[in-house]
Amino acid sequence: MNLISEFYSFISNVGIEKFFRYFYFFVIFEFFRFFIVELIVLLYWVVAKRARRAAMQEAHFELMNRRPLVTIVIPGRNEGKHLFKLVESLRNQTYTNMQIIVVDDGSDDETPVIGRNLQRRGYIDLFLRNDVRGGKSSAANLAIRYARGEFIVALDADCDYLPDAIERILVPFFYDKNIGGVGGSVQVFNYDDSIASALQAIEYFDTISIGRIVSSELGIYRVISGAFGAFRRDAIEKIGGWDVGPGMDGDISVKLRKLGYKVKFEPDALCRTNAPSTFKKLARQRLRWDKSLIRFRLRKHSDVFFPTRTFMWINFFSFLENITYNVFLNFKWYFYLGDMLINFMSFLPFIFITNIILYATYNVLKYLIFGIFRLKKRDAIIYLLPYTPLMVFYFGYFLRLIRTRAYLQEFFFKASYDDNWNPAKSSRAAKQLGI
Amino acid sequence: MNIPNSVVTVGKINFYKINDRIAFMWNALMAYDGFIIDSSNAIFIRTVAREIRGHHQPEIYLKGIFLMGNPELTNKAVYSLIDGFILSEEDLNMVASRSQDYFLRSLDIHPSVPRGVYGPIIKKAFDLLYTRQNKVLAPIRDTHSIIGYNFPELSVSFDENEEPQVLDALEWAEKEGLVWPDFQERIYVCNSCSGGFLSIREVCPHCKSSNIDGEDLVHHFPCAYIGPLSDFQMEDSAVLNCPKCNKDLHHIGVDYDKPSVINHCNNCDSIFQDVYVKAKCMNCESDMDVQYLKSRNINSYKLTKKGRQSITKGYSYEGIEEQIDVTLQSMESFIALLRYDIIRESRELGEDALTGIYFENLNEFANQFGDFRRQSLMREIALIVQQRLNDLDYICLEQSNLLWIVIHDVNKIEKALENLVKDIKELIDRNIPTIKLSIIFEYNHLKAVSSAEACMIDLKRKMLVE
Repeated sequence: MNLISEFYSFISNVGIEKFFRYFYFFVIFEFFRFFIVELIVLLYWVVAKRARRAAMQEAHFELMNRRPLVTIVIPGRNEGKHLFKLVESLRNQTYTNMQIIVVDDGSDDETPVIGRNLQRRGYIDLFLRNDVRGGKSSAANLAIRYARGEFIVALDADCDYLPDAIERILVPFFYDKNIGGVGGSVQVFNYDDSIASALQAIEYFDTISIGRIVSSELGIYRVISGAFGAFRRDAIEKIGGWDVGPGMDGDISVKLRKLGYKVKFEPDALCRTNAPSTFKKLARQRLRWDKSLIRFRLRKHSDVFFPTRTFMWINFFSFLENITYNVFLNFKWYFYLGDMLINFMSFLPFIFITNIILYATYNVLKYLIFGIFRLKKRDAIIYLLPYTPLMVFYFGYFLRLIRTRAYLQEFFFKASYDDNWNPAKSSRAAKQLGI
Repeated sequence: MNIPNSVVTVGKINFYKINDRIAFMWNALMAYDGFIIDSSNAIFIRTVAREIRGHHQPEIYLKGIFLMGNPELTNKAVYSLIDGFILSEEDLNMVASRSQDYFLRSLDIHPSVPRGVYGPIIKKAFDLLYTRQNKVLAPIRDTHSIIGYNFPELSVSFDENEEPQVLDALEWAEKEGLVWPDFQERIYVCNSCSGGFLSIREVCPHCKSSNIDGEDLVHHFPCAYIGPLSDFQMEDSAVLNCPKCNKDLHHIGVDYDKPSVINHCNNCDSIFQDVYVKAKCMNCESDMDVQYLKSRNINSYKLTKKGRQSITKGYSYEGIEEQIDVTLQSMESFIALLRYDIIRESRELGEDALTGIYFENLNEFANQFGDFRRQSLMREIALIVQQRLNDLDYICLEQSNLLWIVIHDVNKIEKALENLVKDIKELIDRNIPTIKLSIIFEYNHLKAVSSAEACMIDLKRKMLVE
C-alpha cells in the first residue's frame, strides 16, 4: 500500500518538465518518431493513395492487358514439405502467366523427389537442384540465370500467398517505370501458435508493415522482404542478382537504390509466413537479421554516406534514419538507463513502472489506431489485442538485448560470417573480399 | 542289302553321312540310326543341323548328329544341336552306342502332345532333352536372335524374330512344373515387339529429342553467381572468369565449385537437369521409358521329375489357357443379357441404362508401355468400375478401349458416371502422370431402346462424333 501511495505521489508531483526529463526517451524517440510522424505520413499516404488511384488503375489495366511473363523464384533448402501447398497457392493466383522455378539448395531430405514430381506433373516449370549446398543467394541466382520472365518474384517456400498477391505486387511497376523492386506485405500466419508468434504478428503488422508503408511513402524504404519481393528482371540482372547472405534481401534493395531504381512497398500484396514459435528460435533469427544491418549498412554499403559517383541524398537519408533508429538509439537507451540510475536512483522503480504503463498504453493505442490503415486480413486484430501490452517487454527488452548482442558481435567479431545459415565456403570467400 | 555310298555302318548301326545337301531325302533318312555331317562349311553344318533338329518327325529330329573332322564353327548354337565330334569314320565305334541309347530311350516316349499353341514344339525339345540324359536347355548369346539369346533346341522351330515366343513357351513349361529354371541373365525387351536390341538414350523430358548437351554448373563463392560453365569461359583465355564480379576463378573447392549439371535441348531449347532415359527398339522403332520396359529372365532349364514323367506317361494337364478376367462378360453373353434386360425393361418401368465408356487415346498408352500393361490397366479400370456396380450390373470390354456397362436401377446416372470417370482419371493420374487419358461416356436408358445392337451402335456413334 505504501508503494502505491508513493507511486501516486510521484505521478501527482511529476509536472511537465520533470515528466520530460524522466521520460524523454519515450517522448522524443519513441512516441514522436513511431507514432506522431508515422500517423502524419499514414494520413498523407491515404490522401496520396486516393490521388494515385486513377493512375494505379491504369497501371493495373496495362498489366492485365499486356500480361507479361513473370518468373516465380523459390530457392530453399529442405523445403520440400512446403512445396505442394505453395504451388497450390500459386495455382490459385489471379495472375496466371507465370514461369515457376524451384531451386533446391543441396537438401538432404525428400525435397528433390517432391520437386521432380511437381515438375513432372507440370505444377512447376523448372526444378533445379544443386547437389552441393551453396547458400540461398546462389540458389536464387541460379533461378535468375534461367528465368524468362520480364519480372522476377522471389518467394519463400514456407509462405502462403493471397490469390491476388502476385497481381498486386506487379502493378507498381506499371505505375512508375523507374521502380526496380517492390516488396510485398508479410503477415504472420501462425499468430495463435504461441506468445512468441502472437507478439511477432503484432510486430509484423505494426513496425514492419506500417513502418514500410511510411518509409515507402517517404522514399526511404530499404528492405524488400525475402519472403515476397518482385523485381524487374533487367534491373536484377544489372546488379548481378543476390550477393552472399545473410541479409540478402536488404542488400539487394540497397543495390537497386544505388543504381537509381526506386524501391516500393505494396501493402495490398499479402503473404503470410510462419514465424518462429519459440523465443529461442526467434532470438536466433533476429541475431542474424541484426548482424546483417551492421555488415551491409555500415560496411558493405558505407559508400552511401560519402560523395561517390553513386551518391544520392535519398539513400543517404534512408541509411541515416536506419542507423539512427536501429543502432544509435539502441545504445542511447543504455545511456538513458545509466542517466536514470545515476541521477534518479530513488525514483527508479516509479520511472520503470511509469515507462511500462506508458509503453503499454502507447502500444495498445497505436495498435488500434493504426488498425484503421490495415487493408486485409483483419481477423487477427481482436485475437492479438490482449497481447499488445506485452509488446513493451518484447520490443523494449527482448529485441533490444538481442540487437545489442548482434551489433557488438558484428562490430567486433564480424560474426555474421560464421553464421551457418550460409555455407562456410561462401562466407569465407565473402569475408576475404570484405563483402 | 544294297547300302548307298553315303551310308556308314558300324555293327548294326547305320549312319547317314551328309556331305551334299542336294542328296537329302528326308523320308529315306528316317531309316538311319544317326547322321554324320562331313563338311568344313560352317554355314552348311548349321543349316543341316537346324533342319534335322527342326524336322517335325521324331524319327529324324531325335537322331544323333556327329560332326566329322574338326570344322571351325562360328555359330555356338550348333554345339547344342549336335551330339559330338569324330575325327574319322574309325571313331564311329565310340558314338554308335550313344546313337543306340538315343533310340532306346526314344521308345519310352509317350506320343501325347501338350495342349496349347506351343505344345508340339515343347514336346520336340523335351523329347530331345529326355533322350540325351542330363542335357540342359541352355541359352546362347546370339546377335541374330531378336532377343539376343537363342535356345537352339527350341529355336530351330521358330524364326529368328519369333524368339520371344521361345521364352513364352519356356515360361509356360516352368509354370507347369515341367522344367526347373536356373537363372542366367535378365534382359529388358521392347514392349511392342519384345525385341531385345534397345538403344538406351538420354533425351529431353519435353520434346524427347536426344539432341541435348550437358554442362557443369559453376558456383563462384565470393559473389554467389552460379551458371553453366560456358558463362565463365572466355574466348581468348583458358582461365575461368566470373561474369558477375569479373574475377578469375582459381581453385575448385576454394573459390568455386561445380554443384550440379544442367542440360540444354538443342531441339526445343528447354533447360532441365534430369534427363529422361528412353529405350528405342532397333527392331520396331518403338520409343519407351526405360522404367516401363518389360523384363524377361533368361534361364537354363532342366527337366523336372514331373517333366520326365510327362514325357514317358503323357501330359496330364490342360495346357495353355487364355487368361480370362472373370469380371468381364464376353461380347456374346453381354449382348444376350442386354437383350433380356431390354425386353424386361419394356414391361416394367425401371431405371436401367446401357453405358459406353470410350478411352480415346489408349493407343498412345499401348505405344509407350506395351500391350501387356494396357491390358493390366484395363483390368484395373474394370475393377474400379465393378466395385461401383451392383451385383446385377455387368460389363464387357470391346477392343481393349471401350467398356460397355449395363447399370440397373440407377438414380442420377449422369452424376454417377461423372464420379466413375473422375475415379478412373485419378487412378491414371496417380500412377502414370505423363498420360492424360481422354475418356468419353454416353448412355441410353433401356426403356428407350429397341434392340441391343442398335443401342450400342447409337452410343458408339455419339462417342466417336463427340
